[in-house]
Amino acid sequence: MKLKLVLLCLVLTGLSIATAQTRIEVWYSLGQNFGAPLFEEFSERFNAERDDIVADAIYAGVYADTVQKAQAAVAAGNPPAVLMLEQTRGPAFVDAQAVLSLEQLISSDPDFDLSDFPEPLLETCRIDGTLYCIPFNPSTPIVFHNKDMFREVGLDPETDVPETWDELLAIGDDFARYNDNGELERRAFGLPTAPTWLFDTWLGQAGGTHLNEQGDAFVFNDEHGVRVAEFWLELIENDVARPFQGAQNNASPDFFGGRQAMMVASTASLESRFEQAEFDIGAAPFWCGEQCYVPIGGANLFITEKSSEAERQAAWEFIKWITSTENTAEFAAATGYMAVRRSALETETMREQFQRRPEARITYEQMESHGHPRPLVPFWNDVQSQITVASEKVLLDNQDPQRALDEAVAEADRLLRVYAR
Amino acid sequence: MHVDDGIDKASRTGRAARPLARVSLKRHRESLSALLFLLPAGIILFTFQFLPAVDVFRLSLTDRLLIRPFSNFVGLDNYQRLMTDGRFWNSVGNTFYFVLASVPLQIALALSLALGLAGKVRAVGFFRTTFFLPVVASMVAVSVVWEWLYHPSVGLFNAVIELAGGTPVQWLQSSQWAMPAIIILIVWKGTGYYMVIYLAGLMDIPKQYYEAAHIDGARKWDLFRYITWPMLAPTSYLVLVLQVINSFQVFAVVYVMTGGGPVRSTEVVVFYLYQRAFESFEFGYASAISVAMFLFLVTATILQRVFIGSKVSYER
Repeated sequence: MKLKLVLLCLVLTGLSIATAQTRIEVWYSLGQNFGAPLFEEFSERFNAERDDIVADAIYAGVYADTVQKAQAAVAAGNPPAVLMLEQTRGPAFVDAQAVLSLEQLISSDPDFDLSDFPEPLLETCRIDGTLYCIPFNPSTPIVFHNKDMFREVGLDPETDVPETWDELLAIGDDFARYNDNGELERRAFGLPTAPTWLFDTWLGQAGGTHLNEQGDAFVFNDEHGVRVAEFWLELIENDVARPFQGAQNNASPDFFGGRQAMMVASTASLESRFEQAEFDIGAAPFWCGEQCYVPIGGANLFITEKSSEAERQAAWEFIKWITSTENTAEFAAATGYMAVRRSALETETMREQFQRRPEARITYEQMESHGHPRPLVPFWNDVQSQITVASEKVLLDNQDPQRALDEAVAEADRLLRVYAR
Repeated sequence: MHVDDGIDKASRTGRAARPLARVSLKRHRESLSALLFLLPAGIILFTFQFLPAVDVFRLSLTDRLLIRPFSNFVGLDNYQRLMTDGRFWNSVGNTFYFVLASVPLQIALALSLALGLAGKVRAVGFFRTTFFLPVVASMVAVSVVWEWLYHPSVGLFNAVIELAGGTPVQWLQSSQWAMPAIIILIVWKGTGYYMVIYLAGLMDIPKQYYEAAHIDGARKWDLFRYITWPMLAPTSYLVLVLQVINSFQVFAVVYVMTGGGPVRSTEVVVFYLYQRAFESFEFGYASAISVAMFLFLVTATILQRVFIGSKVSYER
C-alpha cells in the first residue's frame, strides 16, 4: 500500500516536470477601485487556459511604490518578468537597460497585429523609435461638470460647457458667489498645482512643448509656458477659479460639495465620480486653446531584460492575452480606462458600455484626435516636482511666472546633462 | 534610569561570597548566552541596517544613478555641490524651524500632562490612554485624516475658526501656514509618547523627598523647582536626545500632506534626500546628503552630551 503511494507520487512528480511549466511574476499597480480585482481574475483565467504558463499577479502598490520595488528588484538582479509602469516611469527603466525592446517578439509573432493599437497609445511606449511596452490601462483627463449648477445659473449643461479658453473665461464668473465676508464661496473651476499632467495639458493647448525638437533642452519657460501661467492668473483674478495646493483630491470636495461647477480628472475615475455625485453630473471633453491637446496617462506593460528566454516568451503570451480584443474591452468597461485596441470598440461589451454611459466615449475621441505621450525622459518625476513648485509659486505665492518657470527649466536642464553622460 | 542597577549589586555581593575563578567563569557563561540571544537581531541589524549604512559612505563618493548599472568615482564632488545647493540649505532651514518649534513644545506639553496625570486625578487611566492614543496611530493614516481637517473650505479647523468669528486660515495652501500646520500635527501625535516617559520618571522619584520638603514648609512651586525638575533631569535628557534625533528625521507627514510644498516651505532634509534618491534618482548625491545628516546628528548628540548630559545627575 505504502509502496503504491510512493510510486504514485513519483509518477505525478515526473509528469509535472515533463509538462515544464514556466512560472512568471506579474507586478501590477491598480487600486481596488481601478480594476485590481479584475486583474487578479484575469491572471487566474489565463492560468486556467494555459497548461504551460503560470502567471502570478502581484500587487506592487501605487505607481510610485511599484517603481521603488522594481528598482530594488532590478538592482538585485531579480525583477518580475512583467512590470506595469505608469507612463512617466518607463523611460528610467529603458535608460537603465532593465526592460526589453519588444520589436523582436512582435516581428516574430504572426498572430499579433500591432496596427490594431491606436498610434497615440503606441507613442507612449516608443523611445527613440523602439517599442518597449504594450499599453494596458491608458486614460486622458476629461472635464466633469455639475449639471444642476449649470441650470441654476441659466446655462445649458449639454451645450454650454466651455470648449475654448475664451469660453471658460467668459462663462466663468456666472458661477461666482460670495459669502458675507466677500470671499469667493462658489466658482466655476479649480486650479490644483498637481498632478502635473494638468500643466502638460494647458501647455500643449497653448501650443508649447516641454522639450525642444532636438530633445536637448527644456523650453516650457518660453512664451507658451508663460501664457499658461498668465491665463491661470486671469482665471483667478476674474473669480472663475481658485488655486489649490497639491493633488486634485484637494479640489474634489469643493466640486462634490457644490462649491465648484467643473473639475478635471482622469477618465479612469468616470464610474466612481458618477456614483459619488449627489447631483446631476456630466462629463465633457477637455477644452482647447491655441490647439486641442490632451496628455495620455495610465500605465503600460513591460518585459524585463533579466528574464530568461522561456520567461520572456511566457511574459509575451501573457501580455498578448490580457490585451486581446475581448479582455481589453472587458477591462475598459469595468473601469474607466481605455480599451487599447480599436477592434475592442466594436465588441458587444463596449457597445453596451457606451450605451449605458455615453460619456465613456469622450476619452477615445480626444486620444485619437489629439492625445499625446507625456515627455519620455528618465528623470521626469523630478521635472514634475519642479513644475509643481513653479505652479505653487505662481498660484499660491504671487511670484513672477517667467522667473518661476525659468528656475524649473534650469533644474530640468541640469538633469538632462546628468543623464547625457 | 539607575546606573546603579541590580546586576552590579549582585556581582558585588557575589565577589565577597565566592572564589574569584568561579565568578569569572559564570560571567563568561552569562555573556556568552547574552551574545547568543543578541545574535538573531544582530544579524538582521547588521545586514539590513549597518551594512547599507556603511555603503552609503562609498556611494556618496560616486555619481551613481539609481538603476543605471554603472557609476564613476567622483571624490568629494557631491559634498562640494551640497555646499552651494540652495535647495539643500532651504531644507536645512526648514528642518531647524521644525525642530526648534516642535521639540520645546512637545517637552513642555508632555511634562505638563505627566505632572497633571501623575497625581490622584479622577479617571486617570482614561486620560492617560486618551493622550497616548495618537502615538499608536499610523503616521500616514493620521496625515491623510489631518489633510482633511486642514482643508481650506470643508475642513474642521476652519469651520471651528469661522464659528468663533475668526478668519479662516489657508493651512496647507499657504507657504506661511504649512509648516505650523505640520508642527501642530506632530505635537499632537508625539506628545503622548514623551508623556509616558515622564510619567515613568515621576514614579521613580522617592516620596520621602516630597515629605521632607513638606515638613520644611516648601510650596508647590518649590517642590517642582527643587525636587521634581532636578530629579527628572535624566528623563528630560533622554527625551531631548530622542526628540532631537526623531525630529530631524521627520518625513512621513511631509510626504503625505504637503509633498514639501507649497513652494518648498515644508521641504525638510530627509524629504529632499528622498526626492534626490527616488525622483531624479541621483543616488550618489542623496547618499552625500544622508552622510551630512548623519555627521550633523552625531555632532548634535555629542554636544548635548557634553553641555547637558554632563550636568545630569543620576544619583538618588
